[in-house]
Amino acid sequence: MLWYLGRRLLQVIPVFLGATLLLYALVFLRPGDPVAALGGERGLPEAVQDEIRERYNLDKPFIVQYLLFLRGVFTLNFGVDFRGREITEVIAGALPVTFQLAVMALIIEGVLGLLFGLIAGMRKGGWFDGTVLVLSLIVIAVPTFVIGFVLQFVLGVELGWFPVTVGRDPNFYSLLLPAIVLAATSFAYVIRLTRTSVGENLSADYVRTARAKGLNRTQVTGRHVLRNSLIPVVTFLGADLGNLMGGAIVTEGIFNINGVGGTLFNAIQRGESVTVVSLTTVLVIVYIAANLLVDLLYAALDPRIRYA
Amino acid sequence: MTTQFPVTHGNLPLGGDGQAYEAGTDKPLLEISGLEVSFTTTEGVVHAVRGADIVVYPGQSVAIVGESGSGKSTTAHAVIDLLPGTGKVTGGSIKFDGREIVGLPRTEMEAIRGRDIGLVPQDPMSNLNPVWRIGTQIDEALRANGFEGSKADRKERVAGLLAEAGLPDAARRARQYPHEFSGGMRQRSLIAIGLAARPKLLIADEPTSALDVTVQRQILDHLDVLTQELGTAVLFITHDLGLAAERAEHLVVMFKGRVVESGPARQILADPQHPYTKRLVASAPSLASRRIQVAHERGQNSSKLHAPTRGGKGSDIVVARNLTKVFSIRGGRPGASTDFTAVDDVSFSLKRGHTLALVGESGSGKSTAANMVLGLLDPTSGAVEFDGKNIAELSPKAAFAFRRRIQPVFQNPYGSLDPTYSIFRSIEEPLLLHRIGSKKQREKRVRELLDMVSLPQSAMRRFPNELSGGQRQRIAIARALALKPEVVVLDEAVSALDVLVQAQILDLLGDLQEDLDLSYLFITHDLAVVRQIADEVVVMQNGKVVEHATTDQVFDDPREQYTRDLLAAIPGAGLEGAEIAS
Amino acid sequence: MPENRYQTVPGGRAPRRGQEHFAAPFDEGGLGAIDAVRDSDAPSSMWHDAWRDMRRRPMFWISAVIIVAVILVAAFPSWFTSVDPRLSCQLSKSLQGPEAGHPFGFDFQGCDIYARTIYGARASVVVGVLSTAMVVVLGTAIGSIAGYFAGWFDTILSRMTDIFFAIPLVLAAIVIMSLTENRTAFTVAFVLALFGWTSIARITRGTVMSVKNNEFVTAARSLGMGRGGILLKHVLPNSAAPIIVYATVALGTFIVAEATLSFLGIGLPPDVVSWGGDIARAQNSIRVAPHILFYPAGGLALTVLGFLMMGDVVRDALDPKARKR
Repeated sequence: MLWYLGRRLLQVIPVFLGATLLLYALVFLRPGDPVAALGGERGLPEAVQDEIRERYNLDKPFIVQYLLFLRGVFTLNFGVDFRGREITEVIAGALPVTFQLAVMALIIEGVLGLLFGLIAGMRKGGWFDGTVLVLSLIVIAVPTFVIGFVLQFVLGVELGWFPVTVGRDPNFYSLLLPAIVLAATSFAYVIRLTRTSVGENLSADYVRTARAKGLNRTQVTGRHVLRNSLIPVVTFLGADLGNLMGGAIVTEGIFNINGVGGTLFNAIQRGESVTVVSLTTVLVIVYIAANLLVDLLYAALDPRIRYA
Repeated sequence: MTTQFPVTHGNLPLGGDGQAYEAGTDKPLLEISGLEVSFTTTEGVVHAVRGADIVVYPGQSVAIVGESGSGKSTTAHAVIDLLPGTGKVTGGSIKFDGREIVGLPRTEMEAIRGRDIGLVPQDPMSNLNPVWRIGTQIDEALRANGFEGSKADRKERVAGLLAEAGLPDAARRARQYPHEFSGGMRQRSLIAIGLAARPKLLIADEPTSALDVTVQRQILDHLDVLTQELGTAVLFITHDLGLAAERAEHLVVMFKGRVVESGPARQILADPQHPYTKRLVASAPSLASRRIQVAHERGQNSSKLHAPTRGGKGSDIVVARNLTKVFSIRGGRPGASTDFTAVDDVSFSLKRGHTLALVGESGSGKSTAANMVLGLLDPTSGAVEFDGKNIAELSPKAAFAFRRRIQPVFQNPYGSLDPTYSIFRSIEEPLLLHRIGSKKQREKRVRELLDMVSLPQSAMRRFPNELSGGQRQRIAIARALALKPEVVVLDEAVSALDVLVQAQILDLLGDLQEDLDLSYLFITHDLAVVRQIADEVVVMQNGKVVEHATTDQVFDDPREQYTRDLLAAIPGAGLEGAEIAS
Repeated sequence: MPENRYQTVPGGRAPRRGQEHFAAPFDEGGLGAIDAVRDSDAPSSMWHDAWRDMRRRPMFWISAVIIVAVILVAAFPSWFTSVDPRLSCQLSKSLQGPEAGHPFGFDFQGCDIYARTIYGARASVVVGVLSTAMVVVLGTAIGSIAGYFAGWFDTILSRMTDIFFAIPLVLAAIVIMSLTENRTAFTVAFVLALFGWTSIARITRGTVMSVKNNEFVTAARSLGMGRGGILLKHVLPNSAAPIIVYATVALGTFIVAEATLSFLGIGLPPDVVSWGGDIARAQNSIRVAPHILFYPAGGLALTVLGFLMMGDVVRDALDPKARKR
């Protein structure tokens, strides 16, 4: 187990370095001068541009820039943005609400997705299965932002069940509708994944053996079918945490949440490359960490992995 | 071997209502009459079992024998109400202990399972849930069937059951997971599960066919002792007539969903009535091998019974000299790799026009050796000489030409043909690759090859999924023969086939050898088949050659203990000669 | 069943009731034909079987109709409307409902929604098809090389896949597109493909690794076929099924991703008619005129649904477990 953990941690290092280098290169190593593009049509005075270049190490060779940036990542000091704010503080201000939103969405899609998928998988071919299958396809086909609009309009504006926007003061209740919207697509995927997995496990030999032992239906379903179906679903959910945080940009926009997405979007529109790279790096770290966590969960759920 | 771990007896509580059954009562324990089972598929209704009658008495062992598709497993699954998919009992009755169990409500059937009827399933690899400890899975069986006792009691009982099934160090084993067990150990655990609640009837569905022959014998012996001690009736499901006759007193032979013959085991062997049973008795390799043996003992000339050993001394075409193959296996820890010697200093030679069998259980290195002979794997040391030349030293051009002279046929009839290729394309591929003939000539050759393997020429438009296992194996043979090779490596080429089809293919191979003067390197785990086809035998164990002799020497006068174990493990070895020598 | 069908054979010990030696009548046919080749019906390859299976499913026809319709609309929008989506806008008609010749009504700018929905199909289809094509080529190449050649190739390519996989698709696309000045359908497709190929590479790698262990591959090797030949002639054709299934579904998700980018204003430029852009513009007027949101969103959802359903049908039809024998 320890060796497994160690090996996985070791594998994370090149992935992290590679992914950040890739992002950094895509943002900075490209035709056009990000600084010259600042300040609108007229551009900034030459002296100011030079100062900015020096402050952000843009005058140094690319690889040095990247290494300095990496140092910033490890010391949790990303520097200041073009408006003079500490980027670390900007991130620290935005991260918690997005994290809360993503975790809420994860719980919603996990619990409901497993439940629906289990019922559908147990009665494959039945009316519930058919309905769920078609509805899940529709949910996947309709983009998140459309679902967001519609739910915001119907449940928020027309019916008034939920706050229409979240604003400065997010709480559990006001984040509930955004979390549902954020969860929607993944929820459909979880249903389909669970359904397939349950279907496969139901016809597995060990389930027949369990029934032959004299176990009743509840015991067989819970201890053998559901337990084994959890493995691929948990893998999906873990990897999805990163996707949810990255994808929150749309949901946060619709419900006016001041999270990572909103901050990132503003930074993009203002051309604050350093903030953009810093924020995306944080998201990539979350994503990698979530995947690492999945591997550990996977090992906990599947004893075969533990000793591999 | 099996009494090494004594069976706990005396204080074993009986399952169910606690009634003990005496063997020999006149009240049947299980009475199947006119059973009909069908499956609904997209193609229509398939009748898997058609009017089967089977009776099992308490404490008795009965075997259902049949090939794949005979309905034997379906019958067994109908008894325990665990038919897969769309399977349904559509007629007849199944009475257990005098009570009709067809159509019983789910909860009542759940009460019967485990407690009254136990199941030992076929494949030990897939029948244990990989995520639960072995002990937990046995414990489930105890709890589900009303075992009363504290956690500690159950724990003790679980260990007791495992020990009873022949697993040493049971308490520790109970805490392990299935993937830490070998196939034999898993099968023992499954036996422990099947017998946990002391059922009156145990259904053993090909309980050992996935295991090595020697392990198979140990486990069956153990199961015999156990069920006799407990007075459990056993319903064996098997494809091996020899095994069935050896293990059961009453046989039921099924063919295409019908019972074609049933009766006392020895009587059926000695005096089969139905044409199908006759063919089965004549073809079963274990029995055929035994028959040759009996004939031998009586001093009869056995030449009519198996491929004769050729008188003319052929020259060596393939010589393996001190072949060694070492694989490096990556360990769980970084940098930790262990060397595994799959083939260890193996030498043998194959004479022109002869058949050399490489025999061994899984892990013996026989297939690795075959791949080195085929030039698909480079030996770590040693050499393969083909017609006097070391194949490792051939120039690329000569190596390509060498391919024409030696061709393989593999075990799995479902994996050895590319499913996206038509039969024509599959057989034509070698000709095309080696640029032989024009398009017309190639087509003629394909037709010729199909004739050679006794398939209609119309088969060439078909795709592999439209053919049966035996037919695919014929195609694989045709493809191997396309380039007119001198040597054919038959890597478990008949092991996956049903008995009758296996006999047909063996006949075909014999005929082809005679007509085309082929040399066979025959790789197999099944000594029984070896007797029917090989001139010489090399017995391998753990990568090493254990014994190398002519077939008759190996069977009549084995020198090594391991060879003797293998011979003893052939099902039917314990049968009286007179019964099968008809 | 009449009793005389059975014949009881006299035996040694007296057997118990129901266990007398019994043999069924010998007329049970089929013995000789144990291994006959069917030659009545037409031969069926895997693709043939899949096609036969699909033809029977209503879902196949529904999705096929949707896909064909969408492609026709995207290729020849002028066949379906004579109204120009950009030039015929009249501000006076802003947010008005349907009228003759304008069945869907008008958007905020007073443009005909029907025409805009028709013309919006092209952007989605072009981006979807282009990025899927790129992803399939790139992912299949990388995945099959990693899976087939194993060893160092595999280590390096798999790490590379991990690196690209570690950056969420939408996030990467947002960052890069926001920094791209010349935004066209091609650049959008390229960016989506650049970060979207990893799944298909992983799927291909896994399939190739399992296919290459088949005995027909070993048989081809013993014929003297080279590694490249085996990969192209045997391994890849047998790995095609999961790739096709994934590609169909990926096409749908790329269309959604493009719409998301256009919705955020960093996908296609505003002068290109696209469903994502129209949905974005509709959000301001949703309270007064929900219908402006409905049509572009409906067109988008229907298109994606068509591809997703097709993916489902193809998956079921190609499922090896569902195949005969």
